[in-house]
Amino acid sequence: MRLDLFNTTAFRLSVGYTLLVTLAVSVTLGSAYLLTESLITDEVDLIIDTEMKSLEDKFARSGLAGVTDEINLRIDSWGRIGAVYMVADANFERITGNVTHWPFDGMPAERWPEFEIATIEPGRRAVHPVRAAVRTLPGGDLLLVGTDISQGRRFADKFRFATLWGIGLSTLAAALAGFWFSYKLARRVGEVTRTCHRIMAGDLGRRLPVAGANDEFDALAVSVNRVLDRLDEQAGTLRATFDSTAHDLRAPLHRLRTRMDALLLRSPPLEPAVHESIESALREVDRLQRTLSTLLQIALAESGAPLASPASVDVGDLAAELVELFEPVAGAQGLTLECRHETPAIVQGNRQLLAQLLTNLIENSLKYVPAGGRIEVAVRRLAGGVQLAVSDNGPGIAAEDRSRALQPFVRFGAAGKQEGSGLGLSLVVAIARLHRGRLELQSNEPGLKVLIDLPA
Amino acid sequence: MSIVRVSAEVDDGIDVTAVSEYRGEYRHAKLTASEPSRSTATAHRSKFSKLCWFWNAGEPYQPPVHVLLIEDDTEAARFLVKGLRESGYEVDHAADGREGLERASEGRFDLIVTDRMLPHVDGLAIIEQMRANSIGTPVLVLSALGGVDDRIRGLKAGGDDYLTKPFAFAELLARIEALLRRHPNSSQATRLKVEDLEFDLLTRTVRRAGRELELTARELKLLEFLMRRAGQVVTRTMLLEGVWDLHFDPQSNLIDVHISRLRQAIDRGSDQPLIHTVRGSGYVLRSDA
Repeated sequence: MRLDLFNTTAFRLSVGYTLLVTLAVSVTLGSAYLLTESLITDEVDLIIDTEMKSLEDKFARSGLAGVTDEINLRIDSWGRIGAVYMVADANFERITGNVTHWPFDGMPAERWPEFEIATIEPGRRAVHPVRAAVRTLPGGDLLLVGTDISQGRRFADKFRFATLWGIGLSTLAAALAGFWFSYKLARRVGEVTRTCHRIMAGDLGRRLPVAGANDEFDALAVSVNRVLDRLDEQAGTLRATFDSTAHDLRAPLHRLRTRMDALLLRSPPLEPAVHESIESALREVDRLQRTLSTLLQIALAESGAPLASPASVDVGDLAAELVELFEPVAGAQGLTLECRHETPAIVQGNRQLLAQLLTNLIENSLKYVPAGGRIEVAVRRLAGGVQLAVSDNGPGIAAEDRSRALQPFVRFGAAGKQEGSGLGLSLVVAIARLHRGRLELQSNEPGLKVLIDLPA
Repeated sequence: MSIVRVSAEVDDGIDVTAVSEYRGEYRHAKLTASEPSRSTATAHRSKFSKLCWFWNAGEPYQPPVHVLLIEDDTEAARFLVKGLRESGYEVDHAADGREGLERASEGRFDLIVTDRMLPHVDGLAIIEQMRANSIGTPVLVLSALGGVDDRIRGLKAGGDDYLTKPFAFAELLARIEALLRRHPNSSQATRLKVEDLEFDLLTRTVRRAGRELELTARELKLLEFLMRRAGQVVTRTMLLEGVWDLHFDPQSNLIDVHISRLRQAIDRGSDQPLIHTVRGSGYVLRSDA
């Protein structure tokens, strides 16, 4: 299994973290921006309001002429920088001021209307935004007071620019940091996963890498390694037990067999009746030995040891060969045995054990399917591996018995009459498991279908 | 007349027994000596067998084949030694790995049969040591470890064949025979011929009495295996290993059916059958019955 970086907890966490950072930075900088902007406008508005009031006072004291003089004075001499004034009659015709014409279409509706003035400054044309207020004087004339707000605008623009960049950069930084973290994490977890897979595949001597950083991963690796050491030790003991059991059981069988063989080869030859009974005893010894071998093979397959050095096996080819091997026997029993296979259908594994698996399945069908029946071995390539199916139209196994059928020493039907130990399917299960395969018994309607998915 | 087997047994004295066969009738001859030692037994046996061959003038004298058996299980060893001697081999027995390695290093044996698990020196270590000293004597490994990988490890260590205990004695004999007759150059032959059966290995065609036979690819492989070992007994497991590369025993009588198909193709319409069944052992391809 390959670890998908985008499907890790670390990645999801860092995406969340990035979103959170973006949100926090946006709220902080955004509110600062909005606050600053409103502070600037409020100050402008206050100035305009104050001037408006003083001009209205002037009008009350010395009429339109007084206001006009005052405005001209302010424009010419001591007016504040960026101040805009205008007095117009009721028809919006300019009476005086530093604006050439009435800037609005009639009377503006807003309280703080804004407009633009184009000026010619040395070398360039400039457009200055102006924020203003308009009052109708008691005579029906109009008074406009405004302020060039281009500086405030520039400040606000800069502030906005800085805010947006700030948000963008912090998001980017958070995302990069998150990606980096999740990459690092995924890599270490991936290393652990890969090592574990190797170990499960039979490389029992392998251990998780310890980086020496003394971090939580090292702590984990050390504990896992300790568990593995313990398992290894047990597997070693188990293996030694197998070996000595195999030896201790086979040696007496061997002596028994050798003695009986010696009797058969004796000269002068034995009486035919004695000869025959020794031969039948020999057959029992052989049967006992086969059962023992199968048991030991199951135990060995369960230990994972035979896959220490896996090779590429073409299961399609192997199935075809075995079907060809068994076809004459099936024919002699009045059965059809066929193979439908795709080749190459490559699996990493042990050829002998996979052959044993197929053999057991075929022999199982040969044992239970009555004459005239049909057995089919099919090998298909799947996306991530190979699917092996052995199906027949024999009596099959009832749904409720299927899980029991995979256990050792279980036989169905006229079992007493059948040869065999009842271990065949258990060995199949053990070999499939050794190859990290998935085994399923299905109804072939009628009959039995054994499906095995093997990863490539 | 032919000598079937000559054997010697050391009890209180020495019994040397010879069995000869003439027109289906077996004759036993016995020689008894009183010195209870192995070397005199061997000397008597070889003298006796020479005499038998001289009496049976016409066939050349062949020196007996010398086999070293390294086996710590004394009872099993006793029967194996007896069986092998009765089959005409001269057998020396070493009861542990150290002695086995010493004897094997002498380099004077035609074949070594060794157990895998031995006291002092392991069977595979003996082979490795021998091969390191460039002693090329063929070795047959006997083992109570029957795992697929055990077998591969045994062959990798330099063993020439591997037999899992318990085995039929006939199986052991057939394999010993096969190892002794193995000719490294025979793989370069382009044509195999037994009587009027001819196998052209280049064109993969088979003719019996000049008539071309139609055989499947697998039947060709099976026939080639038998013809390369013409005159030798080939067991079912040897066929499964050699022709199908299967190193376990399926339960069904698979090989018998394949052989009978091949036999039909080869021997049908001929008054001289070439493929013979050897009861309790296997098959042999040869001209005479």
